[in-house]
Amino acid sequence: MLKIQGRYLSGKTSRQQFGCLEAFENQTVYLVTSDPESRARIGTGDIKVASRLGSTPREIYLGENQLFTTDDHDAADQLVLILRGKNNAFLHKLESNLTVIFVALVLTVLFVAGATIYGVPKAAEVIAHKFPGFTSEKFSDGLAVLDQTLFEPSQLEAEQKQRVEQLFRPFLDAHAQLNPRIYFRSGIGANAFALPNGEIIFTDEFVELAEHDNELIAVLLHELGHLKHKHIARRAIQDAMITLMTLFIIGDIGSADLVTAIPILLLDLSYSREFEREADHYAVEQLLAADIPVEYFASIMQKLYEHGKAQQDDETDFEMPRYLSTHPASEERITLIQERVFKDGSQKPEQATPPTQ
Amino acid sequence: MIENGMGTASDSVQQTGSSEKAAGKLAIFDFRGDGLEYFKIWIVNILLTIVTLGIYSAWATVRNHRYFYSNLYLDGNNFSYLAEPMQILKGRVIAVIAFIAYYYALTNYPVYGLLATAALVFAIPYFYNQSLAFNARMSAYKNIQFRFKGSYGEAFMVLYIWPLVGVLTLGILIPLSMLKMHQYVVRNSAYGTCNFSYEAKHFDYAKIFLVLLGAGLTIGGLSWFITLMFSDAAILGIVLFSVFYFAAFIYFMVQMSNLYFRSSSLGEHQFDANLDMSGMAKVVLINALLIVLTLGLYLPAAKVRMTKYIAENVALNISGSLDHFIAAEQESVSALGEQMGQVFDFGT
Repeated sequence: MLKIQGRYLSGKTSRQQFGCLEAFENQTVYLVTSDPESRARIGTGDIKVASRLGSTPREIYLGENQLFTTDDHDAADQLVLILRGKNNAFLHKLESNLTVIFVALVLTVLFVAGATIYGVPKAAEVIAHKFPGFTSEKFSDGLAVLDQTLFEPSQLEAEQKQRVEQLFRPFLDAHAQLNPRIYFRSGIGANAFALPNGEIIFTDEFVELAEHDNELIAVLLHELGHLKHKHIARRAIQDAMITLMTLFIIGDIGSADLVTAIPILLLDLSYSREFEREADHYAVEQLLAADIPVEYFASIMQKLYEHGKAQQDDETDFEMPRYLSTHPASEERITLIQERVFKDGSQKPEQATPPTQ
Repeated sequence: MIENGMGTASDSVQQTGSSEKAAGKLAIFDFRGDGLEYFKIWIVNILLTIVTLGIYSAWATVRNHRYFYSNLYLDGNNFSYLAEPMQILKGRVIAVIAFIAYYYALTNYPVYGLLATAALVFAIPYFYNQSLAFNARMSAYKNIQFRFKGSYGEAFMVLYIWPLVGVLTLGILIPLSMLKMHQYVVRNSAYGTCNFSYEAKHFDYAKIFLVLLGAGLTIGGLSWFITLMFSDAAILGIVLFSVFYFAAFIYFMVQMSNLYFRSSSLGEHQFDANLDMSGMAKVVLINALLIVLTLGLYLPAAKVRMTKYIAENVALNISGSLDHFIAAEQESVSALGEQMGQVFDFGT
């Protein structure tokens, strides 16, 4: 006979009694309590022994919500063996086996690293290109929203706008499948960017900052690179996947904490920098194909960097740390552009002096 | 206006007579979990979740919850978590499908997407109630389950209307909206057939905000002054403000938790809490440091440390004994609301 000492709670009131379970080899089980004195047979089909979990008391449910708890785990395991012919200690064995813990630790670290570095970006790329429905470009009032919140109308002369549009025409035509359209706005400093539906916005300040047509073209090609590679859609998919992964792995611990929010933010920024490099790469390729010296791209990057720095200097002396930036450092980008030129051997890598018009 | 409706909550409480108050004893909550032990359970959970492509996550959730409930003791007895993994899995699958459908509609059919958003806004109070009810139902102490029964209208008020009133009054009534929320959750909760009650004043809440506002203005002014006077010392102003920000965060957490517990009671038994800033700051800083140094692997042990700290600073003033609670009728509650809350990110 197996005897398990423990505590009994009827499930009707919160009063606890000490008692024991007696289990016989012929699968009959009795609950014995002393206050009031009783000995009751329990239907074996109603007995549910919870799996062992750390050093928490073992819960044995006796049908109709009666609960018997014990700290005698060995006896509880034996009870399961008598009732079911096999034990339910599998998870506890895994959780107390140091080899399993070590393997789990290594695999988890490898999986998370692999997923964030390769898996998620690759999956997002495939989804964005193969299932355009998921990241539709039809949803297109992005510019309208920005017009209401951030932008002011462009102050450029009509002729100047027309001239730039003329200049861009061949490149836009070459990328007709992306449906690119050019807009001019002002109000946010020198900048240019693309929205997922093909709208490319140049600011007045940017157009004025560029000293050469080829500089404008270089930046246009960079933005077309973003569109071509569906960067905005991919970033949204990547963020969603990372959020889901975080929820699955540490969701039970609390997902809105600062400690999990910061790594996710840093990861998102690093994805963004990778996309900038990809767009830079695309722009350089296209410039070379169009026989435009790549130095123009380097020089406009340099100007944007100085422009941004001049604006920042007014407010503070701090420079944004690299890992907190959405874009790679300008020096790095300029160096990469120049290296690219040098590798092709077609042109001599010179210091990025602004070409004269 | 806050006093309204208080009578009903305390009327339903069993009256044991005030003479027993003298014979009361203070029972401190006690969390007996261990960081290393939980780490092992956690890492095996993750491994099995990865290997089963996420399906095991429902079992992992139950195991995680069980660990924290079963290790929490009050007056010599522990709590227990009752949910079955299959319930959680079903809710989770439906919630994830709903989320993907919602996202798909929003990007492809903006009109339907916006309709879905509007529908979601009205569905959230329902799911919020379901979620609270599920969590209460699945929690038990001394084999008596907790319950939650809130009305849709009240949930709508505390989720949308009171916060909106708070914003429209430029924050003056934000403390009131928090009070309403806490009142709603606690007063609609019960242990067995015994209701919880919640007694707090608007000013108890406002005080916490006023202290923060006063300290914020002082520190903000001071760092502005430093930056203005010594332009080279701008860094000092930023450091000062960061320290303040952290202190304010700790202060808010500590004061709110203390207020919440001290205002709550279960029948004749009154909760008490004595969290303090230095203790809480120590726990938060040690946890943050170790989590960063271990690239997140310290997370489970950090949760154990935080739970231990909060548990040992919360107590129940037991008037008489905790032996006389009676179980309520069984009702089944699905896990869908809880899982919708997780996936659509509107938790408790």
